[in-house]
Amino acid sequence: MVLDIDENNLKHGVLGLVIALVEVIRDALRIQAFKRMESGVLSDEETERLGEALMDLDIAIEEIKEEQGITESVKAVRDGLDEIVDDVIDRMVNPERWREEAEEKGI
Amino acid sequence: MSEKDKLWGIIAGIVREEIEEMMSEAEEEIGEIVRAELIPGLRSAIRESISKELESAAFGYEYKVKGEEEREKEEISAPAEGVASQPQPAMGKEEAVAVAESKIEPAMAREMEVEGDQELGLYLYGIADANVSTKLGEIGIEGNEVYTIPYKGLSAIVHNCPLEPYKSDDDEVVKGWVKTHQHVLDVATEKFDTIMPLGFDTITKPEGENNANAKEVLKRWMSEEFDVLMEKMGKIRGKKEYGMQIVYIPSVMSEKIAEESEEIKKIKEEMESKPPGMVYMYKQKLENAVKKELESRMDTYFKDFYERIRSKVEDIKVEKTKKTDEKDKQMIMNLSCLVSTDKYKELGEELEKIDKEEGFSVRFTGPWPAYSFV
Repeated sequence: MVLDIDENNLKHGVLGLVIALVEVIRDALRIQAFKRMESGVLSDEETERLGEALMDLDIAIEEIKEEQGITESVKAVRDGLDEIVDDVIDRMVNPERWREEAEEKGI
Repeated sequence: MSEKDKLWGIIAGIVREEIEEMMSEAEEEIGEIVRAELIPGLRSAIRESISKELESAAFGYEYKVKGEEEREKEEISAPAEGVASQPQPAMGKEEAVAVAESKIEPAMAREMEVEGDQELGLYLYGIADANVSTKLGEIGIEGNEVYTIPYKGLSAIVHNCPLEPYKSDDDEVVKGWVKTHQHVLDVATEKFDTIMPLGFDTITKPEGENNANAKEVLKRWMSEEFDVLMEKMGKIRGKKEYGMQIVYIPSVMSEKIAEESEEIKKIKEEMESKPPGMVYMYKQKLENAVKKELESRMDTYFKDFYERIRSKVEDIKVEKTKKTDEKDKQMIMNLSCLVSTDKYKELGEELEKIDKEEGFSVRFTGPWPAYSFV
């Protein structure tokens, strides 16, 4: 599938893609940071620093999106990615899908 | 531009710093997590390649079995041979088709002249639970005259059509046809009460080699399938299909949970005394807790609603939940139910109760022809 990026506006497209990726990385970091905090390996001070860093990152990302007017294109990229992931997982975990695919191929 | 560069620098710096720190801090742990995450993926990849290998051998068998099932299904919805059954486009169920109060001419038994005509097919709308030969008027697709062909206790609802299935690249045209199909079934339901619907574009063709016209082919099919048809008819007789969807508003639910859950209250209290970085992390904790609670509650609600509705209907089918048109609403269940006329009121009352529960609303559609149950 093709990601829905506005081709008439390359800046929006590329910048949107980049920021979307940064957001994905941020989300992954956030989840990891949270797991660390829950497992208790971090001191309060470390947790605080991690939280602040993530918060700054959030603010920075929001500012860039606002400034460049790319909120929509970022969302489009992320929705597209979500769909792909949904689709892949659906295909992986549902044996019915394997059969459907095999039938489609005419086997 | 320099400001933007600076921001980029900050982001890059933070990301790099945090990644490096985390990596060095917990190399082993990350290793374990990666392994844990990868193993299921690897397993399914292995499974997939195994199934691919098996496709050529074992699959042939399974596919055949399925093929037979499908053929059986087709036979139910259409005569065995001499039939062109198009894949059905989504029957425009959602776009409620207005039940026009069309005045139907009283039964005037007049056989349509199709005998011996090899150029004429019969477009099938459905099977009525009655033995009558009558006309329903020019209400069919493209204004064709719709009439019935009786066989024993059943009657096929048809119009004369060319041998080509109805096809168009224009979605609107197809939608119009499907709506007409639906409308004919509505009219027939009013007249004959119980109708077994058939899919759009089910056409019986004459069989030149057997010197049989479409009507004869159709009758032969009805006699061959008579027992099956009667059995299915018995299942839906005096009952109608209704669709019901229950949606909830996540924001209302979340608020409710935040008020009720002790765990969440505790997290909120802890949060108040923390510095901003900690608050940020706690927000995530809070979100997770609410989400978890929401999921478990929805599970309970689902079972509860299901049981309550189940006891009021003859048959129930859980359909896939869809995304709702309204952004702030989430569908929790999507049901097709076969409802007998005498329980209709009770069901309505039960649904009203559900509708009144905080944060929930019920969408109820129908009656539809019993597509989901034949």
